[in-house]
Amino acid sequence: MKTIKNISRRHLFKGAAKGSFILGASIPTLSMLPKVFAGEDLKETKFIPSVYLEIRKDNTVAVICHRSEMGQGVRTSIPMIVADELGADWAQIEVVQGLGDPKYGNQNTDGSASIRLFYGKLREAGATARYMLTEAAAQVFKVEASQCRVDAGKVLYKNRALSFGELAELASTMKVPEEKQLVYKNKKEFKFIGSEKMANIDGHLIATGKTVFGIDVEKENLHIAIIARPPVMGAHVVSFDASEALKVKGVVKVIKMPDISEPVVYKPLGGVAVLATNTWAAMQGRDKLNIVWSKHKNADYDSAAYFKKMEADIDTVTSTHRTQGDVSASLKRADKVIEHSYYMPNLAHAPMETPAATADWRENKVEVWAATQNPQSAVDSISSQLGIDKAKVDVHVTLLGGAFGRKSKQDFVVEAAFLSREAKVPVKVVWSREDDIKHDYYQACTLQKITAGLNDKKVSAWRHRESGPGIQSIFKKDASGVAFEPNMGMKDVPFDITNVECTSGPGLGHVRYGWMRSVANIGHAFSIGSFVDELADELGIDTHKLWHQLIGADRHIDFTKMGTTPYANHGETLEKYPYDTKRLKATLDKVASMAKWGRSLPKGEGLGISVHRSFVSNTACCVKVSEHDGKIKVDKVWMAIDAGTVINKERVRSQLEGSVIFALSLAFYGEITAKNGVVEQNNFDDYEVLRIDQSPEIEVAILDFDDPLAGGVGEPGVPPITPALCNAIFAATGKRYRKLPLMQYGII
Amino acid sequence: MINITINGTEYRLDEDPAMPLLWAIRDILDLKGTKFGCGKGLCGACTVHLNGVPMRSCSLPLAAVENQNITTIEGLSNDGKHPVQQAWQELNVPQCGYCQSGQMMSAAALLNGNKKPNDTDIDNAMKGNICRCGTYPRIKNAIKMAAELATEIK
Repeated sequence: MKTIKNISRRHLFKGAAKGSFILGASIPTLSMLPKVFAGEDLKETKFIPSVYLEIRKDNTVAVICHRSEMGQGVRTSIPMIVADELGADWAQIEVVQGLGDPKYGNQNTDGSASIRLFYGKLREAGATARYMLTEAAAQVFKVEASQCRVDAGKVLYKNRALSFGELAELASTMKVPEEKQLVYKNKKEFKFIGSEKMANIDGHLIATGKTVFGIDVEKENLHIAIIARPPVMGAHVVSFDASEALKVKGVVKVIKMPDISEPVVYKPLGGVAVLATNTWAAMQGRDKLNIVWSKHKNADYDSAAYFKKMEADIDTVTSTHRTQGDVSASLKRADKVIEHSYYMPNLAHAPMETPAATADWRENKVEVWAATQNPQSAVDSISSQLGIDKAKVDVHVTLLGGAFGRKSKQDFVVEAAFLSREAKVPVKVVWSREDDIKHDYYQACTLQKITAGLNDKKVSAWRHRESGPGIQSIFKKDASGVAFEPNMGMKDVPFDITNVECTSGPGLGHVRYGWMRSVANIGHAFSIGSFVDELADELGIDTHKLWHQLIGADRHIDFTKMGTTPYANHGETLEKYPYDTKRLKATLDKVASMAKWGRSLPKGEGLGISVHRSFVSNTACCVKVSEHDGKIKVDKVWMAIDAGTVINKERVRSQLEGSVIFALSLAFYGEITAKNGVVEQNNFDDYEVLRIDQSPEIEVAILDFDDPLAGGVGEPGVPPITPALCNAIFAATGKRYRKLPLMQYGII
Repeated sequence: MINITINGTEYRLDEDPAMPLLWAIRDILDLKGTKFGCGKGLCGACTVHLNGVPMRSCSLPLAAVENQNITTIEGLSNDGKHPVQQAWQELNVPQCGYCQSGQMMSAAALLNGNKKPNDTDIDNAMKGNICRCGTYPRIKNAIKMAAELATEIK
């Protein structure tokens, strides 16, 4: 006889352990059932040689992943590093997601830095554990440590072996070695690092639908909050009527959010929150709110008018980022001057998982589960905004359903903490897609003008100007223009030109701005990469050859000697990560060779090429397009990356493939506009993104310069693609597009 | 009260008949594999099978699926070994993984009706599923591999 289950949301929590939470920690090759981890030691752990590593008596090796997983693969690559140096068997590895805790070091999963910041520390953890396990085994075998070897989770001496699990307890009593005593594996001994193919550690969870992202968190007595936020940034609630909202079945409470003050930083936008026992009820409740908003000057923001202002301001210099030689004088002496302007609009991140965070505020402590790129920043934001000691704030990191920079902003996490404190129940804040598109921290629009002075067909002057808003506008009230953005591909333009000037002008922020996958590198690479192609066309030289000419000799560029304001070099010193023109050119050459650059193509088909350095990696792109009935089709994209030491080659390839889709998407469709201060776009019908039927064939090459250091991978793929695309379109059709998105020309 | 069968189990739900199936699955039945991406049938993250046909559960009110058979990603196989699930893992398709339940459900439905889809068939069946991580090239290859695996099983 069939059993029919009467079910309601209340039944979910009967018998569920209080505070139980299922995180997507996975054990490769074992059962489908997820293990329960709360970032703490649940099993009897015996040997903890590092904050990143725990070896248990049951022979499982837990690697604590302290960086957020958003698809870039850190939950697999971080354990690969530790497991390799340790000498573990991959089957015994478990990944445990670390809480936000300064003991782990930097947890700001941003700037393509996880591997380059932690490669050394993770290897140190593995090497330290291996040393102590070997010492322990040597004691048991009654031999010298040097006579033992480690392989696949065991310490061996002749025909005797002891597993890590068996040695764990004794190993924890061994003297911790000094740094100089550690012996590290050499590249030839690596089993995992640099390997061609490694299964995603969460692959099975994903394939069976058992993942827990921020939006999936469940708690006993959880209430879902959907918030009506001010349509215009900075506006406040004057009054609201929740009477109809409260009539909706499932709606429990309506709470006013705190009014926002400027600078907005990571503060909640404000508005009115509807709390309900299920998401649908909360959404219905919000639709029935009647809210009167205050007037705010941001209501004057109109994208079309703003663009005109950017055009008017393009020659207004408010900041100089590089001044070398005398560009003005040189331009006067030029026998030819070429000048072009390029524009990219505001862009939305639109990760597949909208922002979501859960908080459980009990008396004087709060526990949070969030899809956040930076759990320490979440702790800091909650602490400073809601007046609670940092030590009383625990932030767990779930899987992130995409992020691209959006989820390093803590506004949505603070929203959850605030509401839980007010409502005295666990609260999950969920953003609808409309919320995400209309209230993003956008990639800032940018207008850029490049002027080159030529003498005898050689570039003797290079001037790069930009106007538009900057990310600093969220940190500093009324901040105008860009500040650190020129560090990303503008002031570090690698050309051997005597006279160079990089400046920026004004631009106020009337919506929130933030960083989006490779940030200002996108606009700078689009402008420079397109301009070089235009120069090549003007001069009648091949673009690939012109890049070589402009870049010049093999050298490490010292920007301090070139009139450059302090160069951030993506958070690294130039000593450690030099700007190496030889490697930059080699990356460009690789992609040219892959694409058979220079071959003749039939009419209506074209190739475009570009190269860029960002996050201390070099990336180059070649795009092939063809025109059919006035529409552009991207046939193939070739990508080459030089990222020094790479850990998981397959994931590097997927990140580059993904960068292609991401960049084509923004080039084709990306545009956020506002009228009367309100963002006009809503969902994927009016903020379109690339779909599978527009996805080209993609080929990726990873260069290897035997560099022991790691460079960035998550973001560097993006910048060279848009210029290569527009260059290809020019080659195929003779039409040059300098203002994006491309859909406005009817060619998509 | 609405009776509905999900992954072979029949449930009686006392919810708003206008509640989209997606939220009943996620919030009432605690099956979190089916994801929310847009709420308007534009992104495919919420794809389930309604009597074997792929549907966007965010746009299906409970009233419309009364007494019907629904399969979610959790019910695609008992052991995670559906050819689509196997191919997805073999080719390391997912990056963040969020859209992949919907991708796999759409792919499985395609293969149910078409044993050897070509590129155009794949594009048409899958273009309703968005992936922001850009796993499209691998999805295409995985569908072809799953088609092969499915014929091998027979």
